[in-house]
Amino acid sequence: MLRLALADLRHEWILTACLMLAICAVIAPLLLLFGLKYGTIETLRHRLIQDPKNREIRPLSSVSHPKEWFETMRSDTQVAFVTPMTRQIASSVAMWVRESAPDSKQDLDLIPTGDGDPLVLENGAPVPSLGECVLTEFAAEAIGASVGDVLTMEASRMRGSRRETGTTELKVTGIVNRRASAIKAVFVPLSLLEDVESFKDGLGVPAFNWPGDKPLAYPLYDGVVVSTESPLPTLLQSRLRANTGFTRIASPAPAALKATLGYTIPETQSNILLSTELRPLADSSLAAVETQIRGYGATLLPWVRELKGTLTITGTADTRSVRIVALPEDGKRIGILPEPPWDKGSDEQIHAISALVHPDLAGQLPSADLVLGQTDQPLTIPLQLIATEGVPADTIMVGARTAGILRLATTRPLSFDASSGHFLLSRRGYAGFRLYARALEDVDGLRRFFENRGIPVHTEAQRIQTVIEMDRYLTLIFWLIATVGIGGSMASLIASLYASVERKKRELSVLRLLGLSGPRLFRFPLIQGGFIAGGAYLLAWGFFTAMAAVINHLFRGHLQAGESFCYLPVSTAILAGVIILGLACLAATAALIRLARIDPAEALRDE
Amino acid sequence: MSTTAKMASPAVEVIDLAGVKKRREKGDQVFELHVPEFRIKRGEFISIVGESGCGKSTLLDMLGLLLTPTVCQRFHYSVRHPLPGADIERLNAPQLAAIRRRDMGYVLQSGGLLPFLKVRDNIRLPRRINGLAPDSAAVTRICDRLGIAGQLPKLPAFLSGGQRQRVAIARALAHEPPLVLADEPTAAVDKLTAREIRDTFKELTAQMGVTVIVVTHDLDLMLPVSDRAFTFELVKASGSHTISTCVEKPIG
Repeated sequence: MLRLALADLRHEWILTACLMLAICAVIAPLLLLFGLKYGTIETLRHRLIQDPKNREIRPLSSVSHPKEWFETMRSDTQVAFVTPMTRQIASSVAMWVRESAPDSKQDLDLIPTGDGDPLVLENGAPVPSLGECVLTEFAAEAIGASVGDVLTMEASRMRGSRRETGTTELKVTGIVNRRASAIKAVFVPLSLLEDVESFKDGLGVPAFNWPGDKPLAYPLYDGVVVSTESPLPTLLQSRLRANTGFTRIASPAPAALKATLGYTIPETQSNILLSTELRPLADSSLAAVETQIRGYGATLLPWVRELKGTLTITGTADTRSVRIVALPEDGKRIGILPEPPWDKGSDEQIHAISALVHPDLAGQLPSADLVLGQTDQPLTIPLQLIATEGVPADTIMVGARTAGILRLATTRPLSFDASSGHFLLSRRGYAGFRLYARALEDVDGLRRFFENRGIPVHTEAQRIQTVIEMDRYLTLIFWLIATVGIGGSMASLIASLYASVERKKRELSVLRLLGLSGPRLFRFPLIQGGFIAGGAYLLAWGFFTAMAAVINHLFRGHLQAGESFCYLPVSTAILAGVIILGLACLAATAALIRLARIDPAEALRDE
Repeated sequence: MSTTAKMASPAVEVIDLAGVKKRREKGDQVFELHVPEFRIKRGEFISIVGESGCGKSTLLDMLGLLLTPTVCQRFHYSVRHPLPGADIERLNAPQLAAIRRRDMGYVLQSGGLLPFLKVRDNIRLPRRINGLAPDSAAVTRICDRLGIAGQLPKLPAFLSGGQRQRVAIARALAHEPPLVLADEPTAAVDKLTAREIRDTFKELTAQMGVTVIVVTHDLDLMLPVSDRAFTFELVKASGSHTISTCVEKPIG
């Protein structure tokens, strides 16, 4: 039967080819449509998932985030990577390949990176460590650098009218894929960025021998006692609140004043306590008050509000919580008790580390460590203890300026430079951050998290949503077209095969006359239908493969390795083939059933 | 004659019809074919003669088991001696197809050859369908006798009308059936060729002992070789109702 059916097809090979082409013509565009839909959506989806850029959450405004905040974010399971970022303006440097002429230098942006940075790691570069850097492709092109080169980095600042520069060398350990960044940028460890920022702020960076200032800490006060021998005029008193920053004025009784200040002012003095409810005030406020009372012979005694620390006496296990009292040097003039041992005008930063304590506390070694603050970055200051009668056991007394600096330490991180005896300002926080969500699905949650905390962020959530929606709409449109297409091809397939069975009416009748019946007779058109549909499908598949190759070739500029715009998985191809063969058999059967109802005699003599 | 009686003794009649009627309607035209009695003995050469529209093809198709009678008293078939015969009404479609396949050969007016098969394969077809070896000595002899041995590798389209009819005869005889039905086997060829084909056909079937029923409009051509002949009597029952009755036509 197979031979018979195939002999017939071969005999009428032109018609067979026509039928195949006709069916191929309806299948091939469908395959292409399927392939495009599948390929584009898969590519987009793949890119969205794969490209770490789409998992980035970028702050739109610069809000200062303290270091602890980054620790909290890092422990968030939705966060894959987060690194602080310095101010944008501080990140611009000039760079060139060390061996090349310095005039080939280019302005590049520094981008902080760190362990686990997906933008670097997922774009084919290692995370640089100190003294190393990773370039974006554009940066590498601009300065003509390749992996292994040593670059010279130059940070510059203006001081007055003078331009100052600081340089260091960086080894290129990698160049990230083009998709990572469209700007000329350099990935470096965060600490380098901090150093550059410090340098641009006019500070020195000892690590690179970059000259500059030290970030000296300054005192802050919550109030000041204006002490005079005779009361100040009322009008003047009210003026003390004008433009000084102090908002409250009081004349406490001596006992109350002692409780507030921690030391005693002789009762012959007349005292006014100026204070602020809000933020503590700096030296400038004291200067403003001083200007107002000039000529009244007043003494200013700066005051800080309740300040606590933990004191550990050297050589003992004695650790205790102490109240830190500001004992103004100027008090000596009016005879406050205990008497401050310091002289105003001596090096305040040095003597700041000596403190008056209860005689019992100063042991054999008159030194101790004072720890301030409960945060994970406590400030530890070595103290020289001076045993003084009249100091309570739970109190230490330090110079007013020292107390003011310790007051500052409660508002921002400081460090104590033991070598110089200076308190230095530590980095307060970071103007921005680079943050990557662990998965695409986490992006929206993180976006809400930030926005609920008043931090506007930019995410690719919109784009992700767009792709998801586009996928949905494309799928819908695709199915609409596919329905029409499938309907059309089914109709065409059925019509073609039905017609071919009709045309074979006479031959089939002769076979029936010769005694073929039932399944044996049915096999004839079934084999033919299957053969035609199968051939048409193979033809369509060949056409699809060719067209897909052309399409992928045309779009190769937009594609990355392993991506296709037009692609069908093998399983789908097999499924399509099975469906088409099934339809072909259905069509042939339908035609045969109709044919079986006709008298073979009629078919034979219709001619 | 009853079925039982026939089964007990070797049947003389290969075909035994009685009271068979076939009604056909086309539009408002009604045509009825009545066959009161139609008995054919083994080895007879029968002609069924009539003008077109008299129902001779309808009768042939009923005999060929392609059409089932509308009314039927007896329709007995016993072509393959000594196997018992069968009443046609009791058989289902596959069984009818099996009888057609095994016991009958057909010669159609225009040959009825499959255009996509070579002459050789056309002749082999009934043997293949019956599961016989494609070639046999008998087939070779038949082809030689018909003078188509040289045409075997050709496609039917390259043959003349007469050659095609000869091939059709060869195909009808290829599986050596006991009964051959022929529908106007010589209508498409000229008189001389027709006579040659007729004689060869008669000769081969006589040698093989085959029962032959030929439908023809050309009584003069077939009568000389026929043992018996049947014809039709047409009666117009009304304006649109025609009854055609099959009767034996005495020869001589």
